[in-house]
Amino acid sequence: MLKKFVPGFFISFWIAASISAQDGIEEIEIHGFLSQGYLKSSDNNYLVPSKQGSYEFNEAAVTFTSQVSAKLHVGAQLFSRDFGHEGNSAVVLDWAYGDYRWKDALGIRFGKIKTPYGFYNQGRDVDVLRTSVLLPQSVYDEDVRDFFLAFQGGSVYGDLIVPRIGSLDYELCYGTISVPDPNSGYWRWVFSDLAEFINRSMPIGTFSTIKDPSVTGRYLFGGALRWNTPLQGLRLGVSDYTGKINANTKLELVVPVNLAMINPVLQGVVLPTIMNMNIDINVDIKKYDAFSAEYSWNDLTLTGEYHSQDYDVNVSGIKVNYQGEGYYGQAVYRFAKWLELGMYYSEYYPVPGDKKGEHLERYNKADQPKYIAWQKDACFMARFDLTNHWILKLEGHRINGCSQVKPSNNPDGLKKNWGLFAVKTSYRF
Amino acid sequence: MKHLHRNIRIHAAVWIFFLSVSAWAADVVIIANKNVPENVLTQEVARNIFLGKKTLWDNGTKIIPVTLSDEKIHLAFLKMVVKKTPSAFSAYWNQILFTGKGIPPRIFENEKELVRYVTITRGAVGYVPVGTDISDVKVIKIIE
Repeated sequence: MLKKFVPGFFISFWIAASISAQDGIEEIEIHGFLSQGYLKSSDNNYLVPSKQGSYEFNEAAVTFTSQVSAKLHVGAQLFSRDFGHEGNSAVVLDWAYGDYRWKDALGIRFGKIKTPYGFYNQGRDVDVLRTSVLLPQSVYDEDVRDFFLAFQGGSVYGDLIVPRIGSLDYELCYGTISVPDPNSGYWRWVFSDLAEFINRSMPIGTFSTIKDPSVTGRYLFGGALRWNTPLQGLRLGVSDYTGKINANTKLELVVPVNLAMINPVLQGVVLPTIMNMNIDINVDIKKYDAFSAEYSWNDLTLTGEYHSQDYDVNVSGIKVNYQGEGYYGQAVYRFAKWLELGMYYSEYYPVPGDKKGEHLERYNKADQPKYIAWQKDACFMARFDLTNHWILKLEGHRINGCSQVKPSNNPDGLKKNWGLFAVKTSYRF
Repeated sequence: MKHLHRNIRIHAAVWIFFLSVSAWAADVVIIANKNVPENVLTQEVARNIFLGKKTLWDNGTKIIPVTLSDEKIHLAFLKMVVKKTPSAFSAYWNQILFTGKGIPPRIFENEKELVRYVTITRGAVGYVPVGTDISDVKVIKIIE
């Protein structure tokens, strides 16, 4: 898909930009960024193999934009990322779209568009935009990053400027969800958990393997509204999405068959038999929302966001409902041109009705600890602007609970109280 | 007597505040290409222009905002019009750029180059320190 799309896009882009250059409006602008990080945790492996410390934490992008005419601009960004099992430095088309702004209050975008969710989703991969290394995972969960990072389709947007009321920015989106890698993020977890569940449920000796997983985003519908209030520095936002995703995988099962069932003479002879199953998974996202508030006063910025989700997962006819809730509060202060310090406190609950894990402790049969019912993260961060283009960031997390830690990445078990340290440097041009 | 001293202190503080505000206002002047029809802008509209929210002049010409790299002049301009710190202004435009929503204002090394660009570019708008030769561009008055 990328191979077909990229040359076509860049030829169109070059033609459009050449026409615009003749008009004297604008040339092609080329920018980009590079970043490299390191993550180390005291106990649990989190996001990357963090217990031993991991440098598999980098991003790079090149952005091309051009103002073709007074109302039309086009652009694209090539992006590469390595984040533990995800990305593996493959180059992908991060976004590429045409933007026709008929009026300030009404424009349309078409192509592959970044999803406007919360205040930071669209720029979540651009390290230079924020103080923290990791966004609060309660609202910007890395596991479902692929669902809401970008979509292919169109959006209607605009800035409504009302004197004394402030300005209202809106964007209404419809398209297909782009899920680049079924072996990463949420899907890697779903498929590996499925295989593990089958291994546990079938007779001893059964071993299942996932083959040829595929994920197809059917649609994503929703939008974002942001109000820049008349109180200088205060902005409020709301965003909400619904959508459907289909996934399919073949499951190869190696089942031990006791041949005594066929012939009693063969008592004690066990023959491994290979069986293939086809599994369909349908995810119906009923709600994925965020409510956001930010207040900036001189060099101080206070931010708070609340997120909730509600979705059904249907695995070959069996439907299970999942919900989740998270929120954080953040304060950041710029002490000097070169120094910014801040902190956030974030909480996430995968089952909002069981925040203390009591239900989980009473009914779970897999001996899971009750602290997988929450994750409370206190983060302290520092950002050093070494030059106008080069930054260095340090941060430490004190975390209680493991609701976003994958047991499959921690075969030796989970620790309730743990720490995480992150350092990252980024350059933009 | 105590009362009088307190009143004097309050008056002094108010005067210092207004003097500093007028000092920012006096530091920079907003200029535009002569084809721009507007002569006066409210601070809110000017802010939206430099944040890329207002993109067309009344005659339909594309608005092309430009800025200066000089930190002192840039800071005075941001305090007067945009009401953002330099780092917040830079982060705002980087977000716009790296999500494809627009192109940040071009930054000029000195006011002479900026005035030359505004003179020859339809729809261009920028700012320069008071005292700069601006005979070939028009001055836009900013009101509250």
